[in-house]
Amino acid sequence: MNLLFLSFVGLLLLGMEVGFAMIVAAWLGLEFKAGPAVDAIMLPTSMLGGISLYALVQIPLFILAGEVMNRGGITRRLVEVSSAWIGQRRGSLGHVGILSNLMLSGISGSAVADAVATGKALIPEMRAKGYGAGYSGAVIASGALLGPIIPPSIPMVVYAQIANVSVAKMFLAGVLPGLLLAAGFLVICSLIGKRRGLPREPAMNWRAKGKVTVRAVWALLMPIIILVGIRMGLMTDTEIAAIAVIYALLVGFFVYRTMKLRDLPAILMSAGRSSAVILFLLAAAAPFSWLVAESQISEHLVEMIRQITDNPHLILLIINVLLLLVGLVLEPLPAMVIFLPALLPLAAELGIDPIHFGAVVVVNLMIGLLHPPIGLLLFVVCSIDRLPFMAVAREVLPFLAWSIMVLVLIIFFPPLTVWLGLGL
Amino acid sequence: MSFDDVERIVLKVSGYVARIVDLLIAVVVGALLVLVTSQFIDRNYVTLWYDSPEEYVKIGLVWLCFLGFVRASATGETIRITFAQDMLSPGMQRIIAILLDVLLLVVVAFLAWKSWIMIQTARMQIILGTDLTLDVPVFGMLAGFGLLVPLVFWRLVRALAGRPHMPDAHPVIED
Amino acid sequence: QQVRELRLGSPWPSASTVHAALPVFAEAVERESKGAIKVRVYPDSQLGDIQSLINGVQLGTVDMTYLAIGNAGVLKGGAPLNVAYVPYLFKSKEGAEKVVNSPVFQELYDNLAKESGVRIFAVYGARSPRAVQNRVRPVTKPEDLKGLKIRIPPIEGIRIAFEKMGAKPVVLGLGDTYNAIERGQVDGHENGIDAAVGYKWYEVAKFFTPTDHIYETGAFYINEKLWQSLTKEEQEIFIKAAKEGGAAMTKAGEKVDAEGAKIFAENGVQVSQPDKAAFEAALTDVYKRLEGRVWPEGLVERIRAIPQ
Ligand code: NA
Ligand code: NA
Repeated sequence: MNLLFLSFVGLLLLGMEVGFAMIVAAWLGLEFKAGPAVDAIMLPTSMLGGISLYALVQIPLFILAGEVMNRGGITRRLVEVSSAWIGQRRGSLGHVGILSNLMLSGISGSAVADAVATGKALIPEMRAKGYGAGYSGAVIASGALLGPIIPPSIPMVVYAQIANVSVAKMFLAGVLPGLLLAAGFLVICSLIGKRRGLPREPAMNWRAKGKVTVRAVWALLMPIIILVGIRMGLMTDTEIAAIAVIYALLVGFFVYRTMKLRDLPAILMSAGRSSAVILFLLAAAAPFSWLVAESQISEHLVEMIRQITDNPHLILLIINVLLLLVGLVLEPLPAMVIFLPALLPLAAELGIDPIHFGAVVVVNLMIGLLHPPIGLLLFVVCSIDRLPFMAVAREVLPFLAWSIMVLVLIIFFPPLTVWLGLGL
Repeated sequence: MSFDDVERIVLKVSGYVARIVDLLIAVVVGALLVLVTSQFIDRNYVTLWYDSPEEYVKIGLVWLCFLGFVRASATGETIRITFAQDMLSPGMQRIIAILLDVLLLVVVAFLAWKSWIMIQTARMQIILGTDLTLDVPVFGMLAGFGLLVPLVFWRLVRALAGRPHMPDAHPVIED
Repeated sequence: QQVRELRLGSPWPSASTVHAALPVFAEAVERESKGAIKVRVYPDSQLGDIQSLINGVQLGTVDMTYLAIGNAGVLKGGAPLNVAYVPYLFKSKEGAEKVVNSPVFQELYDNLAKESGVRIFAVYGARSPRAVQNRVRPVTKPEDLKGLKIRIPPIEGIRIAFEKMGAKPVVLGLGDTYNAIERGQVDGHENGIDAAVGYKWYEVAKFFTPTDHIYETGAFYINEKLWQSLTKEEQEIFIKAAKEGGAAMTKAGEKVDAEGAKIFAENGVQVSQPDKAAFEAALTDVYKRLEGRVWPEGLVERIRAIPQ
C-alpha cells in the first residue's frame, strides 16, 4: 500500500486539504489495489457511514457550549476570580493566565478558542506590565493546551469514536494529567516571576474577593456539572453535551444577561462550521482507514517494531516518539484519524489499556501544538497581539519540557489516566 | 463585460447561496440540540418519541458535515498543511495551487456523481425507526459536493486569469 | 467450460459463527455446479459494511451478501419482512426456517425483488433465540418487566411488544449498550445469548431469561438481475447450497451458545426459566397494530396456519 501513503503524503505536503488528500489516496487505492471487486461507490457510502454515528453529535454540542459561554462574558469573570485569589505573587499575571485557562478548559473543548479568549483578555495587560512579549504569549499558549485535555474535549470524543471506547472514561482520563500539567505550569510561573522580579498585583480584601467569586460561580459550576454528570451517570455522554449547552444558554441569557436572542443564529452558524471541518475529516477518514485495514499496514508495523523489541513499555515509548515527530507538522485531529487505525490494533496486541493509550495519544499530540515548525497555539497567540514568533517559541520551552515530563509520567503510570474512570 | 463585472455577479449569487447555507447550518445545529435534549426528557420524564431520535441526529450530522464544509472551504477555514508550500517561489505556488484545484474539481465532481448514483439505491432504503428513506442524508452529501463544484471552479478560473488567490482567513481548527 | 465467478461480500468477521455458513455455501455451489460457478467470499467487510453491501447488491457491484432477515427491512418493499419479528410467531429454529422458506414468504421476497432489485433466495442459519437480560431482578413472567428500561434494536415489532409488557424500550447502538447498562441508563437488553456473550453484557446484567420470543435466521441476498439470469437448475443449486451453509452456521452457533451458558455460570448470571405461556398470551395480539400498515392484512394468520 505504498501508493496509498505516497499519494497521501505528497498531496498533503503540496497543501491539499487533509480530508481531500485522504479521499484521493483512497480513490487511487480502490482503483489500483483493491481491484475490480470493489466499486468506487464505496467512497460515498463509507463516508456516510463515517459520520452517521450518534456519539459524534457531541462535537457540535460541546463546541456550541464553549461558544455560548465565551460570548456570555465568561472569560472576563474567570480572569477576575483567578486574579483575586493569586494576585499577590510575583509575576501573578502568569498564574492568572494558567488558572483562568484551567477553569475555562472545564467548559470548552478547544485549545484554539481558549487561547483566543484568554489571550485577548491578558496578553495586552501582561505586556504593558513588563512581562515581555515572548513570555506573555508562552503562558497563554501553554495554558490553552489544557483545553482539550481536561473534559470536555473534542479530541477525546474523536478518539473514543475511533477506538470504540466510552467517552466518559476518556474524559475522566484527562483530568489528572491536565491538573498535573497545570500544577507544573504554575510552578514555572512562580520561578520565572521570582527570578525576573515581575510585578505583583494590588492585594484585595476578603469582601472584594468574595464578590468576584460569587460573580464567577455560574461559570465555575459548569465544569462541576459536567464532571459530576459524567461520574454519576445521571445522563448519557451525549446528553451531558446537550445539558451543557442548555446551561450555558441559561447563564448567558438570564444570569449574566450578556446574550440576546438575535446573537443566537450567528453562534449556531459558527459552531456548525467549526464542527463541519472536523466531521468532514472523519467522513474522509472512513474510506481511507478501510483501505489501511485492508492493506494490513498495522500488521507490518507490528512486525517492524517487534524486530526492535518485545517490551511493551519500550514499544509504547517508540510509538510516542513517532507521534511527537508527527506532531511536528500535523494537528492532533488529522494525526489521530490517520494513525489510530494502524496504532490501535498494535496497542491492543501489547495489552495496553485503550483508555490509557488514548490519554497518552491526546496529550502527546497536544504537545505538538506548542512547538515549531507548525505549532498552532503559537500561531494563534502571536496573531492576537502581533507577538514575535521566535520569542514565544523560546519562552515556551520550560512549559514544553514539563509537558513532555507529564507525558512520560502518564506513559509509565497508567493509573494517572484510568484511575478516575474505574468502576464506571 | 470585464472580468470584474463577471466576478461581481458571481459574488452576488454566491452571497445569496452562502446566506441560505448558513441559515440551514444554524437550523441543523439548533435541531441537534433540541433532539438530544428531548431524548433526555424522553428517557427520564415524558415519552416524546415513537420514532428513533438517534436516526434523525445522524441525518442532521450528515447535512451539517457537508453544508458546513462547503462554507468552511469558501472562507478558508479547512485544515491544510502549508509549510512546504511556503518555501516555494510564488510562481511555483501558483502552479501547484492550479494543479491541486484541477484535481480537486475532478474529485468533487466524481463524488457528486457517485452520490447521485447512491441516491438511486438509497431512495429504495428505509431508515429504520423513521418514516424517511436513506436518500435524505445522501442528498446532504450531494448538496455539499454539488456546491463545491462551482466554488472550486471559480477559484480555478480566478487563478487562471492571473488573479490573486482568494483571501484565506486564518485557519480556525477546533481541536 | 466457462467458469462464472460471483462475489459474496459479508460484514461478519471470519472468526464469527455467522461466517461459518459462507465457505460451506461457496464450496457446495462449486461442487454442485461441477465447477461452472465459483463463489468468492469476501468476509470482514472487505467489500464494505452492511450499508455498502446492500447498496452494492442493489447496483450489482456486489453479487451476493449474507445478512439478518431484518436487514431487508431497510429496503423498499422489505417492510413486510418485519413480520418475522412478531413475538412467538415461530416455535423453534427448525420451525422458523421452514416458515421463512415457505410460499407465503416467497411472495414477500418476490415483492422485495420487484421493488428494490434485491432478492432473498434462501433463509438458512439460525442465531441464538432472543432473550431478555437485566441488572435489576429475575424475570419469569411479563409483569416482571414493568418499569425496566430495555435496549432494543430499531424494530417496531419488538418495541410494541416491550411496551405492551410495561417495559420502556430504548433504541441504542449495540456498542453503547454495555456502558448504558453499567451506568443504569438502561436496565437491560433484548438479544440472543450470542450477543450477550460477545458484547460482555453478562458482566453488568446478572439476570437472564431465555424467553425465545424471536427466532432469527440468516438470509442470502442476491442481485435480482443476476438471479434471473440463472437457469432453474442453477437456482436450485444455490438454494441447496444455502441450506448446507445455514446448517453449518446453526451448528457453530449452538456450540457457542453452550459455551455462553458456561460463561454465564462462571460469572454469576442467574438464568430464570420464563412462564412462556404467560409471555405468549401477553403478546398474542400486539402484531395487530402493525398489520395492514407494515405488512398486508391477514399475513400473520396465514403464517400461523403453516404447521411447524
Ligand atoms: Na476541556
Ligand atoms: Na508542532
